[in-house]
Amino acid sequence: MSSNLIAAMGNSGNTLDVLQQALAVIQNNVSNASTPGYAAQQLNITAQPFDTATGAAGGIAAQGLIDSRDSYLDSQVQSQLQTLGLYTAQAQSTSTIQSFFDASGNGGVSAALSNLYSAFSAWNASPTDPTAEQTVISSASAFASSVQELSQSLNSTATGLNQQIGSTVNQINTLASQIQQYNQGKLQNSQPDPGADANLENTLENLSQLTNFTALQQPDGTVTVLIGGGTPLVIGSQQYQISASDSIDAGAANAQSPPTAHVLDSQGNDITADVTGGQLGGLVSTRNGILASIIGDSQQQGSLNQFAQSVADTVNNILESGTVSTAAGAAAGTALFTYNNADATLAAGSLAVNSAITPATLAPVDAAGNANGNASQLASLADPNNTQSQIDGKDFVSFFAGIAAAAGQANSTATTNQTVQQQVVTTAQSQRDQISGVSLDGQAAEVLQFQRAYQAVSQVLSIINDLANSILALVPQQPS
Amino acid sequence: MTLQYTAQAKIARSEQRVREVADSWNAVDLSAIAQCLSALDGSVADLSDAHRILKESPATSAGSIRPDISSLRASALRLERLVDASAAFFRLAPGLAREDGALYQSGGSICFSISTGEMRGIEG
Repeated sequence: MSSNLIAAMGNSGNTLDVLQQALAVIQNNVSNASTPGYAAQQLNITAQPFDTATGAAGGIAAQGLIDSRDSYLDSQVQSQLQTLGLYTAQAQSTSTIQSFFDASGNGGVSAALSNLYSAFSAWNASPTDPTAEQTVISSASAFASSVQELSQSLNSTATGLNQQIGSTVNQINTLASQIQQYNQGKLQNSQPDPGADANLENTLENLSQLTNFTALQQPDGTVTVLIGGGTPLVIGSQQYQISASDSIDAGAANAQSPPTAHVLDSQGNDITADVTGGQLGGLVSTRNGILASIIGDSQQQGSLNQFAQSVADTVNNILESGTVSTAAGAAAGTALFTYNNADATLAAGSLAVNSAITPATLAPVDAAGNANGNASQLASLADPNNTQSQIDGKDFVSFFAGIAAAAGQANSTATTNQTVQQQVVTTAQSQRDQISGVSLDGQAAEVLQFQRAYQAVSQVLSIINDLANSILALVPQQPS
Repeated sequence: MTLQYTAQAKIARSEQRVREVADSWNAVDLSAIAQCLSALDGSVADLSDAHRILKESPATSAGSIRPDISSLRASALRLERLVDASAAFFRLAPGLAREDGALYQSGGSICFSISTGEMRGIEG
């Protein structure tokens, strides 16, 4: 009898202890409902054998925590965040590039080119008019300035992107350091730690926004993180720092071109091609992609330089082929534009009006001696069908409009992708939260159910007590 | 005599049911509590039968009825304390007290660290 009582008391004590732990887990879930990366925990409770014959006291026992984290859904969220980071960075950086192009055509390079064409046309009508000649020079100067200004803005953007890439790489290394510390903690103590796991998940999601990577859970509890699927960032307690570098390829065709961005692994190997996601991927793709196609790099001249050089060369060739007047022995024409031709990528940034040009040295007479032959040729450059003023089959105006359109299209595509991807991320996070998240309503409802169940048991016990008292009243007293 | 034995047997069975419920009390398993309620309903039915029998055929002697009733009340008291303690713990869980007043508010909190397993009891 006494052993049964002791067993029952022990059983009650264990039950209450387990209950207290279960409540603490619920309390912890509620407290962490808003903690980023937190997955709801459940106490695993098992029934103990109950057999009075063998002294098994029954009751319950806590068998550790059950983590609701779903690694597949976590990886889905990370994957979608990587894509969102890519599109967001592309949308922001291409927006800056797009802003330098005047979409209306009333300002910037387009308007300056249009004014230059008008000046050529007026000069064609009055080839000896000093005012018309001066207008040609001032319009050419305005055009050169607008091209140079655009080039400088785009080159400044390239420098800014390179700096952002370096800053993003630093952020990635900082997050990698946090993952490394998590791994060190796991190697020292492999016990489940929902708080540390929540921090890790939050860190991985932050990393997802910065770059594409693969996270692999190891049997020892640590996480291996590989950038682009192959370059180690964190393995166990070891971190492999990546770095950013702005450089021009050795032996490049354009040795003075703007340096492109490169991402290097811990050994100095170029892994730029592997960085295809997250903010870093977006910045690199804009810097080395659309922007390089406009301002040039070590391998390509860039469309803006091609445009500037073609306009300058075409105008200069016409003027230099003629003379300043029809008089015998008249001086040969002088180039209207100058630019630095030491490197194909320097044309737009160095485009200027020849400092030696004056109204008197402009050459309206063509090589055949026609008084306004050159002026006429320059005026006809505005004709879209004039093969003299074409680049890759497009007239100058269309070619430049194509550059602006490419920048606008890149921004439009990135912005659309960003909007759609944001919805995809929200869906992925919602699906994950349904599994791993803490539902406050669910936790509260669960507690209410327990309270009501306890009340029901208490009421039945009250009835039992009343019945017991009624029965006692019907039974004679024991003889003393 | 036979009726009194029948009543005694029903009281003993009622006591056994309450005792088993107390022994196997699982405060964090709703389905287990539902089974407890079912067993307690059976206990009430047995007691009601015993009460009816003894009322219709009064016992000539106490027999084992009084000790059985005492055991029954002891088991019921133990179960009642378990249930009260369970309800009290729920009231004390601060994070579970919602602002809409669905649950009890509490001035104390149970300090428990999942990572370390440390439990410091109730703090005001």
